[in-house]
Amino acid sequence: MKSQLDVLIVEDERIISMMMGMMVEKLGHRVCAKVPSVDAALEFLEKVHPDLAFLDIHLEGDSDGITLGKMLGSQFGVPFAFATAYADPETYKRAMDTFPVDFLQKPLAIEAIKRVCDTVLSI
Amino acid sequence: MSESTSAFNHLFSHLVETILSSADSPGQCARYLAENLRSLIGAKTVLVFECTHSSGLHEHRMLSAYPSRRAVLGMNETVQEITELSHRIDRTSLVLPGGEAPLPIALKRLEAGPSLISPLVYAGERVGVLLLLDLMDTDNLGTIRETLDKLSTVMALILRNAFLYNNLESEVAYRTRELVERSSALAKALDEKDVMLKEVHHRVKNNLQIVNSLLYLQAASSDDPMLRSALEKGQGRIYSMALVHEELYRSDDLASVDMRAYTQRLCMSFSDASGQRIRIGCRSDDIHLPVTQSVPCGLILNELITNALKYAYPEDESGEVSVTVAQDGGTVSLVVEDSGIGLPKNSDLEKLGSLGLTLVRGLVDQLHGNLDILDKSAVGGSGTGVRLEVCFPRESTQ
Repeated sequence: MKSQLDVLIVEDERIISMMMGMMVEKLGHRVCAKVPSVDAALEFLEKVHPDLAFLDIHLEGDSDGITLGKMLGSQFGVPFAFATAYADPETYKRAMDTFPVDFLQKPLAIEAIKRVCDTVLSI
Repeated sequence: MSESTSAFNHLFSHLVETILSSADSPGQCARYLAENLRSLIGAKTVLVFECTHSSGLHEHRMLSAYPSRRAVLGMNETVQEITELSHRIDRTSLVLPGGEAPLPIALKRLEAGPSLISPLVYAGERVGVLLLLDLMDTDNLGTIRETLDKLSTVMALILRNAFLYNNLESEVAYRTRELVERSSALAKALDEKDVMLKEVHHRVKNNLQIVNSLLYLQAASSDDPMLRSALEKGQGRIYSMALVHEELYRSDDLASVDMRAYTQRLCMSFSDASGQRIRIGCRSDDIHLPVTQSVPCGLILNELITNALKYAYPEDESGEVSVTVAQDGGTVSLVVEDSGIGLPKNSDLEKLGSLGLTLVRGLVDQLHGNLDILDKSAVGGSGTGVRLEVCFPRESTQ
């Protein structure tokens, strides 16, 4: 059984992206890419199939993380979790309709990242 | 009383009744008045003018003329002059053309015969004038003058009320429009303010997250455990502040923090970090604090909880830390309590020199509150552990 995940991080704030990457690595997993937009994520997904993706909702470009979440579920079969500062009820509902593994609120703690990784490993 | 006087009085009271019954239409009253006075008194022309500072008119304006073909007289300069001159008269007067006084001179210039001028005055306020030009008969004028004085009071009252009413209506309409405009401008400004405030809270929170991430990255890149621990503490402090802005962003008024939601989220983040070993119990009243108090409050809670988690249960002991935020009248209390090993023996509380406690003391001072530290085992009770309580007066959120 797999114990190390290949994780895609979709986050436009570079420093937060770096922190998430470092947390993922600290937990013993591998960051396969850190991208700031849906377009960049889709381009990457053409070539690589990650085990898990963390998605911010507000991203660079026109599309948001929820749009990407929908595609990850239906087209790519990649489990994903949202990690966002925006948590108004409407956004939250829209996000939960895409069946994410988890919905994390920023600021992020490594324990939250761990929880998501452990969930994906147990699936 | 002669027969003709009695008949006149009868016709006159009928006239007053008719005028009063159409009091809501001053134009109609004036028309009716002009028409009937003419036949009653036997004047060639009857003119009704309106003039009052409360009507907003600086000059006389003709309300009615009878016969109407003489309405053009209303514009006549001499007639205007007569109406101006009538200001000097305080009751119905007969004016004969010729002579030295301004009114008779004007009347002569108008080529009119004896005329009655009756100022319309109500409660000392002049609202117009009645001109009965070219009287056919100047006998029995005594009674006519007296009754005209009474009639003019009625007509004045009607004109004044009509004016006040119209004025009131337009004033109300004007004020209403003004209020609607102002309140919609205000609502728009408030909306814009809300949007801006939301944006500001959001950005502040975002920036604090970045600071948080920077500290994490710095800690992660260091091999020095002391430095790492210091940076992680900094991270916790920043996190507790970022949460305040998160709650501000969510609040309805964008100015106060729901301390119950805040405390729950703060405790949850500690629970995540402390794992199963130490349970964190959280209880809070429904308290909303302004930003000025919620930031220090959050930092204090962060320090007290951090301390309890770090010192109460050493060597992988398990236990509980309970966090209570309560309000009693105008006083808010923050209590963090554990059942752990208590304070180090023989420690001088004043000199208990961690940065955490120094920060707490400073913040408590900022809140004009008190810090109470109780070592439960030291007071001889059966309990163990430490109870820290901070009390401070609640500031209004407005």
